[in-house]
Amino acid sequence: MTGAEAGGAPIVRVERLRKRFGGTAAVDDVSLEIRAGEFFALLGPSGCGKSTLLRLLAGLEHPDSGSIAIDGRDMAGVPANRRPVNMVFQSYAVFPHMSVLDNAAYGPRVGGAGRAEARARAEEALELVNLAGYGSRSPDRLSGGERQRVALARALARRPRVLLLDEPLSALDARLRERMRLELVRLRETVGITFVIVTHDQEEALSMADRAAVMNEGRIRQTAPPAELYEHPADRFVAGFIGSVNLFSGIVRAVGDGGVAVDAPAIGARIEAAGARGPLLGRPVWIAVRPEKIAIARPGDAPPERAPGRRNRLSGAVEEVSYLGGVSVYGVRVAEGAEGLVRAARANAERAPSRPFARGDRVTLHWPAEAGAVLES
Amino acid sequence: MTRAAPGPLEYTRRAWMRLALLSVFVFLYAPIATLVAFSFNDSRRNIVWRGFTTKYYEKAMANEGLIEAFANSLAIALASTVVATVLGAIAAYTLWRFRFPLKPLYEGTVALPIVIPEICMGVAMLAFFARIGWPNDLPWPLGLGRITIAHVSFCFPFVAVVARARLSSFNPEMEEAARDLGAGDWAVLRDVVIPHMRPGLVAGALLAFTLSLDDFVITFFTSGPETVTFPVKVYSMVRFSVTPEVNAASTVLIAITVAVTAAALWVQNRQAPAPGRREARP
Repeated sequence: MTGAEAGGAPIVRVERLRKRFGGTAAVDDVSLEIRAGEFFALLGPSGCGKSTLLRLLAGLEHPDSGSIAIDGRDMAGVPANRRPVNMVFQSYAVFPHMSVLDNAAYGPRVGGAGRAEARARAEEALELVNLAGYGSRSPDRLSGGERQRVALARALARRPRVLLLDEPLSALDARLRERMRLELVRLRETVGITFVIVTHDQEEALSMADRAAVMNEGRIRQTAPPAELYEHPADRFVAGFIGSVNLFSGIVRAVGDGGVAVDAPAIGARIEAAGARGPLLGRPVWIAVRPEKIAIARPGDAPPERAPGRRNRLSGAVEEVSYLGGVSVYGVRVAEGAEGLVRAARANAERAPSRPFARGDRVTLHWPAEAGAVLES
Repeated sequence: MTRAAPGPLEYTRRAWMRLALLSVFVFLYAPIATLVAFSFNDSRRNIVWRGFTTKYYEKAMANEGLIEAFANSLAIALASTVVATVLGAIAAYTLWRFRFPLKPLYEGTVALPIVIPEICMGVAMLAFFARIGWPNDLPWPLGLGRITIAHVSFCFPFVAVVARARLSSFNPEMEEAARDLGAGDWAVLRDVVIPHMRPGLVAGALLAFTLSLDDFVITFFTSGPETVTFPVKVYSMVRFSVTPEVNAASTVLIAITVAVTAAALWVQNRQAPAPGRREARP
């Protein structure tokens, strides 16, 4: 069951939430709905307020204004220890003086469950995170990944309606991180509760979440499923934060057919893009084009197969070559200035002995109008 | 086979460093060793060695005044350690957890008894008890109240400082995690904060105990004729002559202090495995 299928009542409803620390607004007029059973990501650069928002949900911070409702109940005045949510902390915060089992049993025990029941729930939770048999160990003797599982089990043993995860993968090494991503997704499917994860890593958010909210400077810029964030970013910040992007600024000179034609003075060219909404004629806009949607070819080469759709064409000289294994990214100088360096990604589909393009080569870049997103801010 | 030259951090393999270490140990422990050795000296004047005997231990045990002073000292040390540890823990937690007006002033005041000259503390205590008219002739354990209060006042800052230092390594997310898992204020304190403070509290309590046990100056000013503690009693004995009896009594005190210290260290090590042992198992 994915969040989109569930589609039902929101389990978390945040309305006009504000929280200031000193002079800066950490969370600034945020409204948000998280659906029951979905894997939701709060994504943004460090200091954007995503962790503060998570702590507000957990009850570890108190909002200046606005409201939070969880599972239909208003959370105003409800302390952290009475909320139907549990959190996995960035530092894991596993209690070092308790065994793994006592850690996992802490929530049920302090919540009033009997010794036997607390133990049963702890063991069940440890099994969920593949730590069955670790119960008697001391957290001192565990690796970072195992400690994180203890923190997960400890939170799950409380049987929360929403599990909050604060940068859960940031302290793990790259390979373990990849494995934990898949495990978290599987875990959510097993237990069926709502996961809200905070991360600054767009790859993490894209790969795990059903939906993600991109935050910057305390505000939510866009909330959408990962593919929509990537292909239809709401503004320049979202476009630039998720993946890499070429931005061309210009003035809309012609509108028609659901598309626009933009004069981009920085590169001295007219660029066409599809999918624009609203009256845009004469307005300044930005066209965002992902590098992998731009084809790179030698000037004399025959146009690629899907040539009929291609309507944007630029030519220049290769200035940067970044070989990334699966793909190579070429920076092509089409004009002076920052906007004049256009990046195009090309899959290294063949095991060619030499790179197809080298620095200084004259090349043409082309992409279909549908590849460009029109951004108004 | 020749030995390699000492590495940059192998100080114990340098001759001059060994010499320095040796002289430090001699300066520190020679007087104590002499004291212990001469407690077995079969001589009244206790200046030259005359032969081995344990009769001065028997004599010390039979000295009712000395035994009474010793019992007083132990009772005061135990009582003031308990009170000082509780107060110190509360002070440390308050300073660590909360922000309030004049906090730096309060923080400085807590540490003040550590730096104030003992003689000033003693005079101040004397003046204080005289001013409030604390009764002089209360029955036994109550008669020690004055000294105990005085000891608490100079012991608890040590506990507070040690416990406060221990708390600075506390991860505040630990407290939040406990709260998040359903713990109220008291449960957070009991299940997470105090267990973390425990090594600091044990060390602080130990410090308080030994400080109280061997304090002379402040006790001298606050003790009455009925409430003589061990150090004060030893001082009055020494005024007549340094007999092996004094040595014997002091040796017993040293033995107790060492035993208590060793026990506390053992308890502490058992609770928190040393960092080096952590990665011992996969």
